[in-house]
Amino acid sequence: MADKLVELKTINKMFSGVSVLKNVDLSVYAGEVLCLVGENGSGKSTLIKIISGVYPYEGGELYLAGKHFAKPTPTQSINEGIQVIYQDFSVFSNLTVAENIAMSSNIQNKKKIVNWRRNHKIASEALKKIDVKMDLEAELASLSVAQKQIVAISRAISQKAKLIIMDEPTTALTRKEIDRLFEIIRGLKAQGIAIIFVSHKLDEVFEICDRIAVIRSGEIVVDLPVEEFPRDKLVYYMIGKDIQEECFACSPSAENPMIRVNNISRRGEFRNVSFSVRPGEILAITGQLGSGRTELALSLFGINPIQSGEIFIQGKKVKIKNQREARKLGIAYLPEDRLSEGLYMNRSLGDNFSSVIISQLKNRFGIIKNAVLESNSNYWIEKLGMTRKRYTTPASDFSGGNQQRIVLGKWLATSPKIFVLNGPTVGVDVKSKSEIHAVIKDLAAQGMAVIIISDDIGEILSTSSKVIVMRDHHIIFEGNTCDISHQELNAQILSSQAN
Amino acid sequence: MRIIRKIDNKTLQLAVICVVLFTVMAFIRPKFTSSANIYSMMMQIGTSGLFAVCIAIVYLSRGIDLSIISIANLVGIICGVIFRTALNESSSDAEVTGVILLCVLIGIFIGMLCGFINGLLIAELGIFPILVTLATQNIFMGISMIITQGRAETDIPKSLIQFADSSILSIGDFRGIPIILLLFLAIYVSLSVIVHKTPFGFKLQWHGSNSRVSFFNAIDNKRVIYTTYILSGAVAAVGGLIITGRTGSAKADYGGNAVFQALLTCVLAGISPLGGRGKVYNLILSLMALQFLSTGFNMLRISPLIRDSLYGFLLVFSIIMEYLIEKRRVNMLNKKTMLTERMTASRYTRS
Repeated sequence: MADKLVELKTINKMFSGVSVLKNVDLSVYAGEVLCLVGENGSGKSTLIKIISGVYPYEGGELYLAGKHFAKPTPTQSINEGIQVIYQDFSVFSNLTVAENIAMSSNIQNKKKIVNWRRNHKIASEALKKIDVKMDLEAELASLSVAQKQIVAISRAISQKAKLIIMDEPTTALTRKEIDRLFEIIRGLKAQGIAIIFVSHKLDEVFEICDRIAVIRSGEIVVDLPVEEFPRDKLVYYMIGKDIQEECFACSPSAENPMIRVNNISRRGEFRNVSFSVRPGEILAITGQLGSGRTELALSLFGINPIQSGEIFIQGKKVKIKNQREARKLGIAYLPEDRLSEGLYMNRSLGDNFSSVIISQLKNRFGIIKNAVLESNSNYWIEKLGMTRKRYTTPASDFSGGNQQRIVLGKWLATSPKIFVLNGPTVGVDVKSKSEIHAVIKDLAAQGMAVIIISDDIGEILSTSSKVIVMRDHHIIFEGNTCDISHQELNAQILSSQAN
Repeated sequence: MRIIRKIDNKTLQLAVICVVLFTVMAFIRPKFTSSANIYSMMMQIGTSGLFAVCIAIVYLSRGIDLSIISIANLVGIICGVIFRTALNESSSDAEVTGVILLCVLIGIFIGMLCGFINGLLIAELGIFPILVTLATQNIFMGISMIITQGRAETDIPKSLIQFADSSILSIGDFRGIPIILLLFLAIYVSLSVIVHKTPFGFKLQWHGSNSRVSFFNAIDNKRVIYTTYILSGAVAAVGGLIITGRTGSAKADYGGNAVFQALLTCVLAGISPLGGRGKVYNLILSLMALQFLSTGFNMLRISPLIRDSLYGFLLVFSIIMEYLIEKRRVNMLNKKTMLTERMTASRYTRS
């Protein structure tokens, strides 16, 4: 067997009481392409950040190039030849190709003075290694996404990388560009450089990888060479259960739509979007990152008001100028990032449950009594099936699933008519996930109109009645979830731009 | 027992510090417990406490207001000018009282206006509070300088000075409780209630905890910022009126280290500059502790040259303590989770 570049032994990691990695064992050998596959929030990024020395780990052992590191720093990790290319590539868009490529190796070698000739030499050598020609004087801002990625790869090579970790490198690429990237990866492999390829696009995984490791809820559930890997089982390993292709058929309690949007647009974000949701219906809006789905959701909640088109709520034309008006109209919004947008982490359960309705909880002297906070909190704990905890417990002490329930609860307290949920189960464990789905279906059954923004196909099919796929800021597909299979929907989402 | 459990650790810590400081001082300098000294300490707490309350509320919103002392001086000076022009030797008592009441209203209005300007720059332009209030601190002081040409306003009515020096419940030698302290206590109690018991107070603390979450909770963040700084300006204005009454004069550069003292008091009381954490009611204990300390320094004849740096050390020390306590809390939490997870894991393996 070739050299072990990285070895992780029973690595553990947690964030403010929530365990994100549990006893992870993983090795990477020179000259192989390892695919790290997992759903959003499964712990992929955390694992990468531990290998690259960004996060300290809490239990277990980490070996880089055979050496044990108890508390590795990013610098140490780089010195051991580990390079990470993040999704945004971390390039300087106001500098040239040569400067960008040479930047890191200049820092690494503690060069104090900029030397143009040396920069050019470093850059052209690195580009030569991956057999790419590029204008060294071009500014990064003028390059395409794929070209920026090549710059980032060259920069990694110029630092004598032995292992390059690519975090979802194909997200923003066209098929042609993906083929070229794969060629580059094969070239690197031939030179003995190892690659960790992080992705959840299954076809690519089987095309490029030598070995596949699946991570689910912070645990490596399977780690096999690609030849031995049962292709049809990959999704099962990722999700932890067979996808029940059982679609959710709703029973709208009224014929008239609760909310109808007609041809709404907002420059640079989405255009000509129309749909309607009846009481009791659950509509899923999906699409790749940057397709406009989140922007659309924010507009419905009044954060980015629409510039043209019309919105009707229960048949009445409305203008949603800000969040407060949206709230008054009976619209609730569950934000994308629970940790930074959903909860006051250092505040108590009682505070968080009352954070949207606080003005309604005061008594006639304008005072909010602790007893009111307590009973409000206890009511929602009961209602959402959470473990009983005192209302003074800080929100950071809860697990991901329970935290998401708190966010749901604080909005349910406003008895909304329309609930927009952006990624309701991201980073939530499997059990809580199905419980949250049950809560959402229950809300719809009580006559609420629900809109879910999600990229989790299983979630869309099992919880929604209708689905809209967005791409390039407009709707490209619309249909009932009962009429479309998992694969078909996946193909719709991934269908790349017309070349 | 229930009451004891309700009191948080910070209150207990501060109470212990107060008792220890008081006992130590009383032991080495018996003069410390004299009624004259206690009275003078109460007077000082009444003034410095108001600035500490200002800082406490802006701290809870994750902001800062460095302009409070400039607002206070500006208010004092404008009132001084009004006294000088509106009153003379022959003014009747009723006239004097009327002008004083008018000045109180005008003064508080000016304080609120200054706070509004701070709020405007912070909420609408999104400039950091520390930059905004550092700038307005100098602007407000500059206005005071221009008005007074650097001199002090000294035409303060006698009745205001007497009022500021009056007290209630005097028994024999003991002069009782100064009216200034009572005024401070009234403001302190009502602001504690506003911050910890009203919808606005909750929004204020949540803004400090995470304003982005407030944004998604459909809370009007701008309004919260405006109200916070207007409140701070109003309380600072009351501070200015009290200083004017106590000293019988108003100067553009009075109270050079009042802001620093207020910051120190808040940090000591566990009100974090990072926002959303701490209880306003703990202020009274940290005010007492600092007052015992500063009076003690005086009595022990510690040079004022050393004193300032000692306060600086104290600030750094209490911030480090806060940091260590928070770090310990997070570690404990992680250990607890690991333990429960291991327990659940073993339960699964057994069954």
